Amino acid sequence: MRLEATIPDTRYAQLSELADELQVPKSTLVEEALSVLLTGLIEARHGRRFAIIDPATQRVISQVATPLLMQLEWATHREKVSLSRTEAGKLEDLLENPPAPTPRLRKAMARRARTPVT
Amino acid sequence: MDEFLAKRALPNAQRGFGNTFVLPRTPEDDPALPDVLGYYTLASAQIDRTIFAKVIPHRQRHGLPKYPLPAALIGRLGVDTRAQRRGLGDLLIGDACRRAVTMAEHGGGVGILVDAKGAVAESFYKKHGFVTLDSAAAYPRRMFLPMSTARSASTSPVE
Repeated sequence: MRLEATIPDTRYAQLSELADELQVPKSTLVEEALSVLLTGLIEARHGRRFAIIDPATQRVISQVATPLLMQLEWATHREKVSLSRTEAGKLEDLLENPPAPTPRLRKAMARRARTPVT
Repeated sequence: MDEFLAKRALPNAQRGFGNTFVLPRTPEDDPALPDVLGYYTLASAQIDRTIFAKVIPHRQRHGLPKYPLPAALIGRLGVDTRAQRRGLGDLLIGDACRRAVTMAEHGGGVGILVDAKGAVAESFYKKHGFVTLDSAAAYPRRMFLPMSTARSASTSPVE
């Protein structure tokens, strides 16, 4: 089966470099990457996390997070928050009449030079 | 900050209490700075709806869902004292809000909640449009930003 996909130039460069380094076709890399992602998604559906483990200590070194995995976690785990009557009333007002974003928030959300990582 | 990252961040993530996003030092940064310049945690939350029944007149409640309201929750956000005054707090809050907007597009979300740790933090969030819900409540610095406001900020041009 032939698959066509659009990916960022930087990702394509990484893919080409890795294919050269490992001496395998790009298709092999794509297939294995999809297999890893599917495994992560299946585990996330069961409420489990996708992590890197140190074989020596069996301790988790880092957690693998992708937008899709985070969406699934987002849907499965929710922290309960209770509000007082006043808080609920204020929140309702804000939802009914949302304020315009402040210039500082606009500027902060436009900044993409550096992205924090998990 | 160091203690939280070392002892709490990963266990919290493993238990589903939210993800911690860190801002690492890069080669472009001053090498004297610490490895981690700042971080924030983001979790999904559900706001109990029962209280709304007491607050909102019955005739106005017909359009509101009966299930808990989904929201994003910024648990902690901090910049290492050695890396402050470089705009990294703005960078972190901007990233947190962008991620919350993305999550809300797929999983729903009425807004972003945060419990500011002190007056300075409250002032910081206020400048970004967060509104204190009730200064006399159990969490006197619980703040809220409607998702529509965050969404609007992410799409409107910067002046």
